[in-house]
Amino acid sequence: MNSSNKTVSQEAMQAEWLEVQAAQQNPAHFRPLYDRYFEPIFRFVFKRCADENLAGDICSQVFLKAMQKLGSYQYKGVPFSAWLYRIASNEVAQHFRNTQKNRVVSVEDHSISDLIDEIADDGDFEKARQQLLQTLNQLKPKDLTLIELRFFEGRPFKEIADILEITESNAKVKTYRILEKMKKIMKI
Amino acid sequence: MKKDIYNFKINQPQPSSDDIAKHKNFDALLRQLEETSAPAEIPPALEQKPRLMWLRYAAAAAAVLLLVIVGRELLQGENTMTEEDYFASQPFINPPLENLAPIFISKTINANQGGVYEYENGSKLMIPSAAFVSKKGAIVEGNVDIKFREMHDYVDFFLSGIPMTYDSAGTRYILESAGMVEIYAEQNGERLQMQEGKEIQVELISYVDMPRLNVSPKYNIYKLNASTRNWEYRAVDKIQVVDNLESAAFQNEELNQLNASFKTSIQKIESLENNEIQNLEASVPLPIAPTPSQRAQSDQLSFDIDISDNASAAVRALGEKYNSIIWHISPNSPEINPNALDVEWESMDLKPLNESDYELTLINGSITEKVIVTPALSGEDYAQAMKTYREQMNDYQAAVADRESKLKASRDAIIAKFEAQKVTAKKQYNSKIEKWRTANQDDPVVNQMVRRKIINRFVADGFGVWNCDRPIRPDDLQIAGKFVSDKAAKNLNDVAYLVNKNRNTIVRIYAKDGAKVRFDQKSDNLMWMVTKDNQIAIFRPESFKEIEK
Repeated sequence: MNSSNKTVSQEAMQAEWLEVQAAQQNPAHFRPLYDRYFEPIFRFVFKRCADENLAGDICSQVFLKAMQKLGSYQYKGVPFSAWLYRIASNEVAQHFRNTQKNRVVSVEDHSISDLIDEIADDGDFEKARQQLLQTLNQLKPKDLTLIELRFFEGRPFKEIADILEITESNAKVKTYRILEKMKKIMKI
Repeated sequence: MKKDIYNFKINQPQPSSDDIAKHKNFDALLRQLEETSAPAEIPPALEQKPRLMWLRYAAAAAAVLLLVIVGRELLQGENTMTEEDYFASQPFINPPLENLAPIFISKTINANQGGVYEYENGSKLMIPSAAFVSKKGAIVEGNVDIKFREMHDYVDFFLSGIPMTYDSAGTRYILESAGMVEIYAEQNGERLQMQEGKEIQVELISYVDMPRLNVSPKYNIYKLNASTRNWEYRAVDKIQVVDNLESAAFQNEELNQLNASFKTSIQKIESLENNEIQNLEASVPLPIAPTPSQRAQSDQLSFDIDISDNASAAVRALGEKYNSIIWHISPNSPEINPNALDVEWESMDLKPLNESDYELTLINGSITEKVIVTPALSGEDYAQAMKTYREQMNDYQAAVADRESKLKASRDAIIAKFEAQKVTAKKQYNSKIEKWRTANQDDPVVNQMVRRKIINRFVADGFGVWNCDRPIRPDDLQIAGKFVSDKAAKNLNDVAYLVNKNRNTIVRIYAKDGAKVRFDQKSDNLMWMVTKDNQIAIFRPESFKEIEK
C-alpha cells in the first residue's frame, strides 16, 4: 500500500480499516500498520527536526499515542495515514513548544525552484530565490505547513486535505491565497 | 530585522531506510503501551465491521426487497396483530445487529473536580464537580468513567436500535434529528446516577441542511424515557451555526469573490469605527493615575542627598515637603560601577525622569556616574504621602468615571451607527448569495452552501439518550404493501426500516401483509430489512420512484 505522495483507493482504505479494527481488539495486531507507516512517519518528523535520534524519539511517541487513542479511531473515508500524520504534526509542535526552539523546515533546491516557479514571473528568479526564505519566515505556522506539504513534500491536495481535515477545494484555495500573499511580500 | 521563527535547513541529508529501521522496535512499543497509565480505549470485544461499507456491500449480494402494493386498504390476513402491539411486545431499544451498535467513547474523570471534556469531532461535555451519586445515593468521589456516544445519521440511528418516532396527542411524529447522544457514568463497573440539581452541559457538533442559508434551523431537545417508551420534550435546542458562508472557501471563483468583497467591506467599516472611537477618546484626555510613595527600606542601597537651591523645582518641592526623604537605587537603574562608592563626589544633579524615577548624576571633575533613583519616605512623611496618594487616587477614579460617562453615549452612538452599516452590508451580501444560488441551482457548490456545521447546546440533567430533533408529520403518500424477497421469502423478518435520506429520518415498520408504508414522493427514500440470516434485503430509491399514486 502507498503511504504518501499518492492518493489511496477506496478498496485499500477499507481493507486497512479491517486491520485497524483488529488492532483495536488486540494491540499486538497493530504491527502491520506500524511496519507500514514507521518509515514515512519517521521521515515526516525528521524533516521537521533534522536530528535522527530526536526523530526516533518523537516517532515512538507518535505511535504510542496512536495505539493509546486507537479505540476512538473511526473510519471516515480518509486514509489511516492521515490520522498518523496529524498526530505526528502535533507531537513535533509540542516538542518545539517545550524546548522553545525554532521548528526546523527542510527544503531541497528543487522544491525552492518549484515554489519560485509558482510565484515569480520570468526574469525575477534570482531575486525571488534570495527573498524566498525571508518571506517563508514571515508565514504563520499553518500557512507554512501548507507550503511545506505541497511544495517541499510534493503531496497531492487530496492527501493534504486529509491530513489537515479540510476539503480538497479548501486546500487548493488556501494554497493559492498563501502564494498571492507571498508574491505581495516579495513584491514580485 | 525580523526575528527568525523557523530554522530552515537546505538540502539536509536524509537518513537511509536502514538507518531508520534501527529506530523501529514494535515489541518495546507494546511494552510501553502496557506500562502507561492511560488505558487504551477499546470498543466492545465483538468483531465490528465498518457499518456503512457493510450496508453498502452486503446489499450488493443480498436479497432485493420487493414491496408488492396490495392497495390502499389493509389486506386482511391471518396475522391480526397491529403495528403498535407488535412494537409494544418488543424491547423498546432494540439494536438489530448488536455487534455494530455505535460505540461509546470512555473518558476517566475526577468526580471531585469535574471539568470540560472534548471529543474528537469537537463535541464537549462540561461536567460539574461532585455530580454523581451511587445507587444508594452517596456522593461519588475519585475516578469515574464517563461513557459518551454520538449518533448522527440514519445508519447510526438504525444500528442503535433507538426508535426515532415521537407520540404526541395521538399522532406519531417522525423525528428529524440534528444529532443524538447517549451518556452514562460508571465507577468500578457500577452504574452511577446524576446528583439532584447537577447538570452536564452538552455541546454537540453536527451537520444539518440549511435550505434558507442564513436562517438558523430550529430543533428541540428530547430525552428518551424507556419507562414510558416515548421521548420527552425538554427544551429548545440552542443552535449556533459554526461555519458562516462568508468565511467559507467555495469551489467557485464567483462566490469566493463575493466573500472577499464582503470581508473587505466589513474591514472598512470596522476600520472607520475604530478611527472614530479613537478620535473620540483623544478628544477627552485620560487622567494621569497618581503614583504611590515608596517606603524607605533599610536593606536597600540608597543616597541621602542635600537638595540644593540649584535643583529643579520638582526636586526642591519634594525636599521641602519631606524631611525624611532618601533615594533608593531604582530597579530601572543601570549597574553602578563599584568604584563609584569610593569616590568623593564634588557635586551632583538630580532631575525627574517620570512619575517615580529620577536621574542622579554624580560629578567629580570630568568623571560622572549616572544612577536612576527613586524617592523613599519613612515615618510621618510616608503616612502623609500615602494619605495624599489615596486622596489623589479617589480624584483620579472620579475623573476616569466622569470621562467615561461623557464618552459613553457618544461611543455607543458610534458603535450603533457602524453596526447598522454592517447589518446592511450583510443583507446585501445575503441577497447576492441567494441570487447566485437561484441562478445556479444545479451546481454542486449549492450542497456545500446548504450543508452547515452547527453546535447544539443543551443541558442534560440525567444520564441516558438525548436527541436534538424536530418532529415532522408522517408523509402524505401511503400504500399498503406486502414484503417479499427475490430470494427465499422465509428469510424475511418482522421489521423493515424506512429512511427518508433527504431528511435523515428512519421509521420502523411492522412488515406484515398490508403494512402501511408512508413516504414522501419528493425525497430519496430507502427501505431495508435485516433477514433472519443477517443479510440485508433492500428496496431501493429508484423502486420508490416507480410507485404511482
